[in-house]
Amino acid sequence: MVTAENLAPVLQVDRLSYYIPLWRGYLVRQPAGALRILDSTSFELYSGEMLVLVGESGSGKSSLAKTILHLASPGFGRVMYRGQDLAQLRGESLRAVRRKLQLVFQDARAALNPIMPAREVLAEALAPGERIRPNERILELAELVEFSPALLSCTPGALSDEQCRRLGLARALAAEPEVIVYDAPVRPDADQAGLGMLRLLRSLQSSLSLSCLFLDRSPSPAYRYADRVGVMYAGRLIELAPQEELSRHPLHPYSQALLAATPGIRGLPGDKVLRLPGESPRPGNLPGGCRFHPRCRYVQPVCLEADAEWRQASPGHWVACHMV
Amino acid sequence: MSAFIFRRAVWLLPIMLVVVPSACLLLQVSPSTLCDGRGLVLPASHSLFAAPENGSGWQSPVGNSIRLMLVGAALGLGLGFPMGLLAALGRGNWLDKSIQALCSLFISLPGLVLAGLVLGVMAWMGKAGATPDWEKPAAWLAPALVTGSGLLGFTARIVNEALLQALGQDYALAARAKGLTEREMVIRHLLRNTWITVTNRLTPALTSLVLGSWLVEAVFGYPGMGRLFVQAILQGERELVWSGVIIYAFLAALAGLVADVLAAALEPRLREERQR
Repeated sequence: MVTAENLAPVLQVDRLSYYIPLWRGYLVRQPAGALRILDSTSFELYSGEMLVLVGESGSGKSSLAKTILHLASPGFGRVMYRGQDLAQLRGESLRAVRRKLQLVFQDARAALNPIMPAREVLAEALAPGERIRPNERILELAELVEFSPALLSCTPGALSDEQCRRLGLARALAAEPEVIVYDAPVRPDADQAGLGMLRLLRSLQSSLSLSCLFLDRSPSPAYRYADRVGVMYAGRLIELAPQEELSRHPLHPYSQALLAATPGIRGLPGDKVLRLPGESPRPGNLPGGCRFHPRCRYVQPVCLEADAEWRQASPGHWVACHMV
Repeated sequence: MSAFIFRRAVWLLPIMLVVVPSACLLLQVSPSTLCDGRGLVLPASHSLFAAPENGSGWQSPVGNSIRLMLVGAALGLGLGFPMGLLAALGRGNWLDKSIQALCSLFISLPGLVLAGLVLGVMAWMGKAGATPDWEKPAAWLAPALVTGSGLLGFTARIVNEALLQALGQDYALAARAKGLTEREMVIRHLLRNTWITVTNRLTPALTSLVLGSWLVEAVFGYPGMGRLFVQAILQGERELVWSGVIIYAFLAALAGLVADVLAAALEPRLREERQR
């Protein structure tokens, strides 16, 4: 939980953006705008915290995860790990910091080398000091994530999706990280599995003093375990608040609709589902101004003019909306 | 593994059972002589397997040809692999572009044309003309390189393609996230997977290397069976043509076997699937 003692942020994400530039022209290449995959997203991750970011598919969660770890280079903005700007790091120091920030990939199977047995996957990720007695540590890791030791000699092809996911988590833990970024899988039955992984992560978190950034599509499993919850829409973090605060007073109209549509969470008074017209915009043609304005019930002229500032509406409750 | 090789080798039998009679049939219906053979005379002893005096079987025409094919294949794979690697790692730079251009040339030009071009260049440099001393390794370089050129272009291209694809995979990202250096990542995670892709698609390239070699030999005047084979065709020496066809067919089938065994050696799953 976030308390006064551990208010030092482990990770500061400051107006982070990830753009893919587009080009046109047959003979001469001319810039033709960019796909805005991730836009001015800012938040801080505190020590020992479970921060859950929810957003639909395509809202920029996976790109956020890869950009934070500098596996994709950000267009703008920066990521600070314990006060160090990741963009300033090169070579050995960057690799050392990367080991402190570990990612569990969305597609766990694709993130495993198809011809590498599970044991080697873990052995390779071990801290250099532990490679002396790798077997004990590998068994310990397998036990930690409830991965059967009998499967350690298997290649990913022989493992189920769930086992691949646990192996991915064990690999992340092998590097003895401070931060785990968990990119939840896109799958119809993901909610139940996601819940199991959240519970597991939560129990590991206290014993290993981990900070956790959990990226998920649906808020329902996240809610029971999160300290704070953020909502992403079309490539931007639009609201961030402690879990109870967000359930009681969602401020952004999109968060209100999302929570009202989620079973098991008290939405707005009267528990009515708020229907949003249209679809989430694609990164290629985001609307000008606030990216949510075409679907917003409270839209005002200012919403068409400029994107909303990211600001604190009340202490600890951040939102990007002109109308709040 | 030995069981797999045996099982795979048994398949050479039906292939040869088809090749031998059909080659015979084709020769029976073809005209007896294509030309009168002026200027091209078979040497007095024109056995495919006869070794020169005090020489081993490897110095007979068939042996010479096989040695040339092996050197060509080694050159093709040995140069093609690092070239594809360099192209993929230096994506988009001048080295990548020149390697790509060279590969397109090697893949699209038939060995016959390339051999002519190389001979022309050698003549222009004053290096051709007199019969080279084929026992010197340097003399082998040109014909072996031309023989292996198709394989070289093919290997470089497949390696480049497979490596670029693997670099974009999540497991390459995961290796970086573990704190591996770029070089460790390429060596431990990507090279073996890339090599598997190459061996899996090697069969057609190796067979075409075998089947393209006789023309290259004939152009370079290399004392292999290719030269004898061309002379035999032109003079209507049926028995010699027939045995040549059978030997080439056998070598091509053998090349396919080698490619399959290489692939299975690297990829245990392939072995298991075929045993079932």
